[in-house]
Amino acid sequence: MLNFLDRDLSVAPEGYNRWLVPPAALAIHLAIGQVYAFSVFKNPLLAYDHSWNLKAIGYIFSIAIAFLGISAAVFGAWLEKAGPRRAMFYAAICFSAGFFIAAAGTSMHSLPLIYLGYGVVGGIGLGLGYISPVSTLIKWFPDRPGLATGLAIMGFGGGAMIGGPLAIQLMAYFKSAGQPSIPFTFMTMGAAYFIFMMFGVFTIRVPREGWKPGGWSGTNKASALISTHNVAVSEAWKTPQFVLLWIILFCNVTAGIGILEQASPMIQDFFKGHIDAVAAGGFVGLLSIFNMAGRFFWASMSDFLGRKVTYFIFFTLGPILFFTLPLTRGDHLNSVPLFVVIAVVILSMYGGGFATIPAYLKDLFGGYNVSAIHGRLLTAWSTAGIVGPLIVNGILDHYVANHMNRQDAYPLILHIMCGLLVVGFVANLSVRPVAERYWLNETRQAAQHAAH
Amino acid sequence: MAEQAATKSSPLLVAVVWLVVIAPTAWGLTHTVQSALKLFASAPAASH
Repeated sequence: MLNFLDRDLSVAPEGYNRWLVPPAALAIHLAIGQVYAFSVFKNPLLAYDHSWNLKAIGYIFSIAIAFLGISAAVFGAWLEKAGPRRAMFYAAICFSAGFFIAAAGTSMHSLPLIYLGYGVVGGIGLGLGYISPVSTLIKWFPDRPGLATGLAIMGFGGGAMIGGPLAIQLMAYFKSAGQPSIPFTFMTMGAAYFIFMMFGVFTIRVPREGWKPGGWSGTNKASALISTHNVAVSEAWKTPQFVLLWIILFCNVTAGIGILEQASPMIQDFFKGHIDAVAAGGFVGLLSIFNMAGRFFWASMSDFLGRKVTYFIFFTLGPILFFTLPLTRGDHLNSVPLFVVIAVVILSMYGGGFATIPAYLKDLFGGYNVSAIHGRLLTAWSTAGIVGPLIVNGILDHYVANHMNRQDAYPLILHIMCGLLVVGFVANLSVRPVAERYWLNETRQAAQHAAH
Repeated sequence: MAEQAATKSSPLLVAVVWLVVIAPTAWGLTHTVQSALKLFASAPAASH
């Protein structure tokens, strides 16, 4: 019954336009990117059950992101065999089921059931969905891998822009209709996202064996860091290059979280009496736009600049901007425009870091197992998702507990992030081509391919 | 094997498929831009 999910049945016919493939990937990423808008449920959930607190509700998002990384790492190798269509289908099932289980959990006032639904089951859907289109896009766009993966991963950044207002409007609608607003909203979103993701499932195609774009010579800009050899996932994660890229992603994401985690209170604290909560909400919206745009811009630029140079820019410009940001506050330069410009550039590089990493992996390890390798690398994101808020909230709590001015905590936080970016700079500078002993030999590759 | 007939897929189909993902993105972007404009609405009083 589910034969249509087989890789063999999703091979594109001759003449299939490759520009039909990015929307399939976008459908998945725009849906699962909803997770970034989960905060819109925080206050309604608090009001729904007074025994729940903000910390307990906050775990829903944390569990989802943790399971994103875990499932991407665990199922990456399976995905390479099963093909993108089957992986996207299971992603749709899990992500949608997560909403329905969470709806049941809300109705039953059971937070553990919400953790299980949105956090664990939905989180598995996130991980599967995030990595499923990556290697397919790279195969369709071998001439522009950065542009292709940037397009898809831009969708993840844009998902919050859809998920946020959609949830707010649905909750308002069900509330006015006298229905339980949160469970009904969860169920409606679960159904709507399932249909939207199924559009991606039916649209995705893998290219025929040996296919390449018309007019493309078969090689990109010559660089020692663009390998013509493949590395299997079982070998790739043992290489120093994998460790360096893990550090690069971890540092870039943790630094970005330093802004994202406290964006609204930070701008209000920096410019007390000038920026209110409404304007701060606008600032958060602006950050999400640049987070999304940066994914496409920087990943596309990396096709021309090279991945190493792109991250060189992130890790050179980033520390300067993080160092400068505290100087813009009210008792120093007192410049809201400068603060906003610096923050949006930082956020564009945060998004760019996510979107450029698959192409960096493809350059170093080849396209053969890139989804699986990418899946394992995403554990850096999960780790940053824990470490980043720990740094930010830990320092802020320390200042508040010791009756110090919270505004004075931000320079310390931002300077720590600045230091992390310097670590990322060194890691990026240390990236060299993968040693020959890790390469997949052609006989083994053919055998593995046959097994697929 | 080079791509021989990339135009075989109907351009209309390509446009429709893109529209399916662009439409919700545009809707979300409109909401976000409207929210972001609130920052600039209060910025004149705040900036030097």
